Amino acid sequence: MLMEQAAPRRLAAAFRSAPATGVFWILVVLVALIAAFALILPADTFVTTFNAQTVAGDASTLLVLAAGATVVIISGGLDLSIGSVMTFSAVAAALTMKSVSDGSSDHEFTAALVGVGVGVGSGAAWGAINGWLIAYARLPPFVVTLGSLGAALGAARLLSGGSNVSGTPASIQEEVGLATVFGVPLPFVVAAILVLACGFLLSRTRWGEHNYLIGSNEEAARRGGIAISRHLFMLYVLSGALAGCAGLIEVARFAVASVSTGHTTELIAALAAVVIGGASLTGGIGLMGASVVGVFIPVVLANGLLIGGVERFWQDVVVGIILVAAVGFDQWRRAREVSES
Amino acid sequence: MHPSSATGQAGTGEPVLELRDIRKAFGRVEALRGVSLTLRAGEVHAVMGDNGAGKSTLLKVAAGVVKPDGGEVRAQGAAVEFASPLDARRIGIETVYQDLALADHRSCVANVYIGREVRRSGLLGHLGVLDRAAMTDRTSQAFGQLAVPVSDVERPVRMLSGGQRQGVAIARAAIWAKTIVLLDEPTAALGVRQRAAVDELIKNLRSRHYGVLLISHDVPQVLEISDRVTVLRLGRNAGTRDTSDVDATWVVTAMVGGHS
Ligand SMILES: Nc1ncnc2c1ncn2[C@@H]1O[C@H](COP(=O)(O)OP(=O)(O)O)[C@@H](O)[C@H]1O
Ligand SMILES: [Mg+2]
Repeated sequence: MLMEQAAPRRLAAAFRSAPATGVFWILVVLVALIAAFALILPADTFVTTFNAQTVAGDASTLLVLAAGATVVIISGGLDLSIGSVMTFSAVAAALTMKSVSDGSSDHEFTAALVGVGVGVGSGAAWGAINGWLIAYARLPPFVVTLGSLGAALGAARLLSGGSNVSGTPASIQEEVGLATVFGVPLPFVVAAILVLACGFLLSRTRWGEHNYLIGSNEEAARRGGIAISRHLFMLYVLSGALAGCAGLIEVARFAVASVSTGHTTELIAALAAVVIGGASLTGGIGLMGASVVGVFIPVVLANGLLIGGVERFWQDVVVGIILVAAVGFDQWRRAREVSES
Repeated sequence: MHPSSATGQAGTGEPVLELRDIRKAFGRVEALRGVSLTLRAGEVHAVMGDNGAGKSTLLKVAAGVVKPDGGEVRAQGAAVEFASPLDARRIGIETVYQDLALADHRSCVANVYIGREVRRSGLLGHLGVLDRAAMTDRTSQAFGQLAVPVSDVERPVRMLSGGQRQGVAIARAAIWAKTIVLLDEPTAALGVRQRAAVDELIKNLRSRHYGVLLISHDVPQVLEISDRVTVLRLGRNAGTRDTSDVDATWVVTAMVGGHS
């Protein structure tokens, strides 16, 4: 009797546990969102190849920022400076490309290469400052990165003289920013590679396991012999370098480095995506794949609302509501999970 | 009847850890005022005492967490100085702390291998890629041998009961320890049945010839599973006896200072 019942019960349990995984419900929300826009919006506007390319392009910078934020948040940390660092790296890279190419098309390739180095390097440098202060001076991540949020944006504006930097070599936008590979925008391909690399680092390597352990119980990690300070330092360098990559993608796509907003919308959207994806701000929990799904919620929303002619600012309102709802739902789900076991 | 009389090994194994005249003060609080204690292979050596008697401090000296102000720690006959818990672990001493030191969101496997993760062989290993299958297999195997009451080693630790969590922490110590396991009140927060499971684990360690230092408040437990018992009082050793020679009255009297 018992044996006969075991199999169906296990099957039922598997069905019940699919919705119990956080990713499942975010995916449901995303699919519902896409379905709703597809139904409501006029034909040949939302469901088109061109629009899919637009969404993918728009998602690319956010994916890169969210990849870094996922790793940082899982460790129990926080990096509020990624939007500003992205701005700084974009400005630094754009100015470098302009001065290396010097208006002629002969040096454009060199200009692009040096620009990439400066973009990633300056992001990593800001990350190193954050990392040193957090890992070795033991200052709280919130305070440190709130400070560098302001400092990096100020520095970017000083560097650019307060105005946006345009005039990067045209070929960079044409051959990289607007290029496609088998119909997929190149910036999205670059972002996907970076996200996959971060996901691999997080889920398959010792460094990634240490990241989860530190976020889950730092004292246990320390007694286990994990070099916490060195890990945290590297973590913020990685976060900064990824913000630098996001800045480069922006320059490639728009041929301009904008200093007007400091990318606070992107900062908020990236953090929201990670939290919507089920990562816990107290550390120890989070999945790269879930953050990726989380990224597409604000991006698809913005896209659909734009096509529908709705004020863009509704995006921020709706993302805010989804964020709070997702965290509330997740808490309820986890409480139930523990009480059931 | 008594477990040690069954094996006939009460305190007869070679000394694996010797604490000699250990002193430690925290500011004006003299936690340890010259405590000596010898731990032998294959014995469960209980340390009892009132709150604040210095039990945890003594364990932390042996674990390399606290540096003594005076006295000597000898392991396998040689004097040792621990700069950190890693030094103690390197010579085969593992500790189960009172707070367990488990990463709640991670699996039993991840907690067992914390800081000692196994990488794959070859290029992937050099890139830091983990060999999760090997770690999972070895953890299941060890849990089976030690009779840890956890069937799925891939479950996150936070999903386990108090007794199971304790089991994971003790198994981790047992897996990595070469000679010595130090336990700080491993059953203080447990119910009767869970306590029995942990007691079995401790006996299991003894039969594998580890030296086990067991801090406990629980007189019946100590009388049941230990081979020798040391009572600390106000940072001093108030007596070490073969457990078979004493009863609850002696222990309690020693704890409150009745013997002189
Ligand atoms: N890190 C510390 N700092 C200051 N005082 C401490 C510290 N650790 C222990 N003590 C003091 O040392 C004494 C012995 O503590 P402890 O070894 O924890 O006792 P027990 O484990 O027997 O209850 C107590 O008075 C305690 O307050
Ligand atoms: Mg204690």
